[in-house]
Amino acid sequence: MASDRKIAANRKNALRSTGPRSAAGKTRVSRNAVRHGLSAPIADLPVSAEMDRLARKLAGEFATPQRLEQARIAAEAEFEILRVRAHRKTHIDLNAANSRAERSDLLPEHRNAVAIMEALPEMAALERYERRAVSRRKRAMRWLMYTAPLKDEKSGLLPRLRAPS
Amino acid sequence: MTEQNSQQHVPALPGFSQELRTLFGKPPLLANEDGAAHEALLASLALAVRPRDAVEWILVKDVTDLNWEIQRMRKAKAGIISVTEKEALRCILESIFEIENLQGRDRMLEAELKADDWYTKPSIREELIALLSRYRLGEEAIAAQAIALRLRELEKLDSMIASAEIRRNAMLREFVVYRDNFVHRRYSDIEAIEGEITEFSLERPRQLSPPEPETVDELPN
Repeated sequence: MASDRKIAANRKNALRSTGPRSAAGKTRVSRNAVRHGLSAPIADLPVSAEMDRLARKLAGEFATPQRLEQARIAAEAEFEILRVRAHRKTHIDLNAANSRAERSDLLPEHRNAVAIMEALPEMAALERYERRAVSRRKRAMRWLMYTAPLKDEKSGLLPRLRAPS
Repeated sequence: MTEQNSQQHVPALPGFSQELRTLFGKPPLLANEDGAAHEALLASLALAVRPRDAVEWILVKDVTDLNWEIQRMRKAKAGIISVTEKEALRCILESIFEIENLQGRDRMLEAELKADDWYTKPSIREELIALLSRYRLGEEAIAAQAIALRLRELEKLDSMIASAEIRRNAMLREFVVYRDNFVHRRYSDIEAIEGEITEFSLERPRQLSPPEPETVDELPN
C-alpha cells in the first residue's frame, strides 16, 4: 500500500495536471473523442449562418414561422449530406495518397480503385448517416411543397409567377 | 472522369446563382477527378429539366452527385479486378504447378516469377497462355479468379451502388412530384388571377357605362 507521503504527493501532482488551461488547449481536447463528428448537431457548427440563408431560400416568399422551421430542417439535412460526402471524399483521397507512397507500381487510374477498396468500411458506415439525412430532407421538402402558400395571408398578394428560364 | 484539366465546354447554368453555388459548396470530387466533367454533367441535367427554384436545384445537384459517385464506384469495381489480376494469375499458376508436382516454396516462387513476367516478357506470356490452355483455361479465367479473390469487396461496392441508385431514383421521383405540384399550384395561381380579372371585368362595364340620360319632363306648352 502507498505511504501517506506518497498519496499526498500524488494528490499534489494531480492538481497540477488537470488538463489544458488555455482556451485553445481546452478547445483542442474537447474534440479528443470526436471520430468523424457526423453525429454532432450541425447547428453547433460554423456553417449555421449559411444554413439559415439556404433555409430562407427554401421557404420562399411569404414564409410563415412553420415554413421557416421546416425549411431549416431541410437545410440542416442538406448540409449534413454535403458533410458526409466531403468526409467520404477525404477518406478516399487519404487512402489514395497512402497508396501513392506505398505502391508506386500502381497505374494512376487504379489508384482510386485501390483507395476506394481500402475505404470501404468507412464508406459503408457513412452511408447510414447519408440515408438518414436524405430521408429527413425529403420529409421536410414534401411539407414545404404541399403547404406552399397560394397567397400571402396579410397582403393578399400572389407569389411572383416566374417563366421557366 | 479522372482526367484533370480537360477542356470541356461547359454551358452556363441559368438560374444557378452564385449564392446557391456558395451554399452548396464544392462538389465532392476526389483529388484527381475532373471538375469540368462534373460541371458538364450538372449542366446537362439542368438543361434537361430547367430547375426553377432552390428546391429543384438541390434535387438536380443531388442527382448529379449521386450519378458521379455511382460512376466512380463502377470504375472502382473494374479497377479492383484489374489490380487483382496479377494475384489471380499467381493463384492459378500455383494450382497448376501443384498438379504438375512442383513442391512447396518452389511452386510459390515459380508462380510469383511467372506472374511478374506475364506483364513484362511477351515470350513468357505466350508460354503461360499455352500452359493455361492445356488446362482449358483462357485469359478470362484470370479475371474470374480476380473476382473470386475480391468477391467481398465487390459485393460491398455492388450494394453501395444499388443503394446510391435507389437514392438517385427517389430523388428523380421527388423532382417529378415537386414539379407536378408546382404546375398544379401555378394553374391554381392562374385560375385565381383569372377569377380576379373576371370579377373586375364584370364590374367594369357598370362603372364605364354612360350615365343614364336624365329624363326631362316635357314642359307644358
